[in-house]
Amino acid sequence: MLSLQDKRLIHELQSDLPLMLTPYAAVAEAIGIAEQAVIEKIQEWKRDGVIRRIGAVLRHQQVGRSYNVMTVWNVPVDRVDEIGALLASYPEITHCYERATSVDWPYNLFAMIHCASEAECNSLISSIVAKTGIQDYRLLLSTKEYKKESLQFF
Amino acid sequence: MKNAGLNSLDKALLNVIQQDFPVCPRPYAELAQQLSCEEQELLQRVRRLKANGTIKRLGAVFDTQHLGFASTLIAMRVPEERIDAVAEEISTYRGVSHNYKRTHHYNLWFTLAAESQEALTRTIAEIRERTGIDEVLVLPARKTFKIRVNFEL
Repeated sequence: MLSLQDKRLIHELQSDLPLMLTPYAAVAEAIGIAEQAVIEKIQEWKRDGVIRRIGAVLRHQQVGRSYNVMTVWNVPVDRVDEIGALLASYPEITHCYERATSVDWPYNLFAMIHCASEAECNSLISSIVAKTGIQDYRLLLSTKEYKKESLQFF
Repeated sequence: MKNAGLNSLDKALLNVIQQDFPVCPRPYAELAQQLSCEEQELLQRVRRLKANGTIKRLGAVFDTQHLGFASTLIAMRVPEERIDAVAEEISTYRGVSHNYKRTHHYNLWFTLAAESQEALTRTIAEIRERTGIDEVLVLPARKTFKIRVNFEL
C-alpha cells in the first residue's frame, strides 16, 4: 500500500527532476522529508521494480530516429514466445507485447519500430518476414499525434 | 538534423543517463567521475540538452503494474469527420498518455491506465458512452517482451 507520503514522492518524480546539483535534496524539500529518506525510497522502489529506472527520456526525432511505425503480426499461438523474443532482439524495436485479440482483430504481437528512414524500416520488416515466415502483418503509421506524455499517476 | 549537433561528450553523457541517472546526493559529481569531467559542466550540458529538446524528461520511469494500476491499448473506429473532436475528448482523460490517429479503419489508438481493473473497465464504458463510438477494440497486453526507449548514440 502506498502512503500519502509515497504518493507525494511519486508526484514529484513523475515529472522532471530539478536541474540542479542536488536534485534529490530539492525533491525532499518540496515534500518536507529528509533527502536521505528520498534516496532510500527511490533505491527501494528500483529494487522492487516499482521504478524501472531513473533516467533521461530522449526525443526520437532529435536523435535521428524519425521514422516510427507500429507493426502488428498475426502469429500462431505456439510461436508467440519465439517470435516475440526475436522482435525484442532488434535495437530498432523499442516496445514489443503480446496482446489480446478479438473476432475483428487477429493480430496478437505488437512491435514499435523506430528507424532513421522508411527504407531502413522496410528492410527490417523484410528481414523479420524472411526469418519467421509470417505473412499476415500490418503497418500502422501515425498520421496525427493528439497526446504523448508520461503517465501522471498522482 | 541527425543527432542535433551532439558532440562526443554529449553522446557519452546521454548514453549513461538514459540507462541510469545516479541516485545519490550529488549525482552530477558521480557522473563527472565516470566521464572524467567537471560536475558543473555536466549540469550545464544537461540543462542545454533539456532546453534544446533532446532530453524530453529527466525523472523516474514507473512501472504501471507495480504501482497497482491496470492499463490497456484501445483502438476505435471513428468517422473521419469526428476524429479530431473524439480524440480531443479522449485526451482529456488523465489516464490517457498516448493518443494517435493511425492508418487503419480502426483509426484512433490510445493507451489508458487506471488505478484498478474496475476503474479501467468503468472508464472504458464511460468513453464509449460519451463518444457514442461502438466499434472499440480493447487490447490489453498479455505478455511484455520489451519496453526500452534507449538509443545507443
